[in-house]
Amino acid sequence: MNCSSFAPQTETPLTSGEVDTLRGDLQNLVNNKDCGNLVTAVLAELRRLTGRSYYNTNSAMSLFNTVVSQAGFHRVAADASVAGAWGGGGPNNAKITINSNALYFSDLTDTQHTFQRGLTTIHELMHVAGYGHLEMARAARNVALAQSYSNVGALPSRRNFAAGKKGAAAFDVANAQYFNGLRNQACLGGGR
Amino acid sequence: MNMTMPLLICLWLALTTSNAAPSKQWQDIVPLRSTCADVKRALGVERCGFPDSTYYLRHETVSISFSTSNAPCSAGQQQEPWNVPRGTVLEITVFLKKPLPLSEFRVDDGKYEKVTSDFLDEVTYNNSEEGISLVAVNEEVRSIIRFPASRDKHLRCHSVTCPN
Repeated sequence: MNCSSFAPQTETPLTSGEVDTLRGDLQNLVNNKDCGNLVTAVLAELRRLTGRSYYNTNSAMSLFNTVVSQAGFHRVAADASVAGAWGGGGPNNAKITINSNALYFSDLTDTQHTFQRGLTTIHELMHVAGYGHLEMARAARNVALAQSYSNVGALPSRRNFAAGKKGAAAFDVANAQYFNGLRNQACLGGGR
Repeated sequence: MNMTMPLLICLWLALTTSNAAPSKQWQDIVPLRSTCADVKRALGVERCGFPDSTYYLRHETVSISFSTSNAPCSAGQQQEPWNVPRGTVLEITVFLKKPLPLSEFRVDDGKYEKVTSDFLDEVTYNNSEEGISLVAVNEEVRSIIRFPASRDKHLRCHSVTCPN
């Protein structure tokens, strides 16, 4: 999530047991009322902002099951991002790849990292639904304001980042982090 | 006189007009040049909210940032480092409900740089010279950001002109 490019390399599909672990990590988070409400509302707001909803759902669990039924979950050893996602681009396109070099994806049996895995899965499922960081940040802000969250800061502005590719990449990361910040407020408690 | 035919024609016109291509009025709004009045005229909206306004239009959602300082570049007024009057447009973000083909933009002219992320269907094409970023998914432009172009750097507060 939210890092530089995630170059696909040799991938291996996760076992059904590993997929169930990720499903449980996600379910634990969205069972939390604030977290579940935020995720559902952000997906609805994304639909309003963009006029698009590829899988016609506001449910993270439904999106998760879409990935399972389409291209699935895979593991790759990569240098950069923690995870990557494809979605919203055509039939059988929904796919999430996790980076086995990332601390909390290196051992899916490690219960110490269940929250972080769930949080990352939420982030990637937004991409599966067809939305990028620019849209995710704005939708999260609108929802957080509507749900009376505290600490809802100003959105990143492109003009405040350097010119060129580096500035554009930093702006994208800032939008990803903005979304993640509000997601964490909702999903790790003490959000409002 | 039979009124059915004219009514049908009117109905057909209404339906086809509503499905017409996006009018792209936001293209007339230029960062560091346009004002609230220009925004109202271009988008057909009634008000501007400072520092940001978001307009949910039929074909797109448009978000616009305005300068808010009455004394730009003066001490203590450095929230936005642009020497432009209050109410000037600083940045525009357009979320297109009907994506545009990437081929409509000359992204291969050497002025655009490609940026990718963990959303692997998406590519951002950044052109700082013109002050435009295009966010495309599978060769369709879905979002457009217009920000101050490099050539407008003289409008930055305390800009320094270096001798050649």
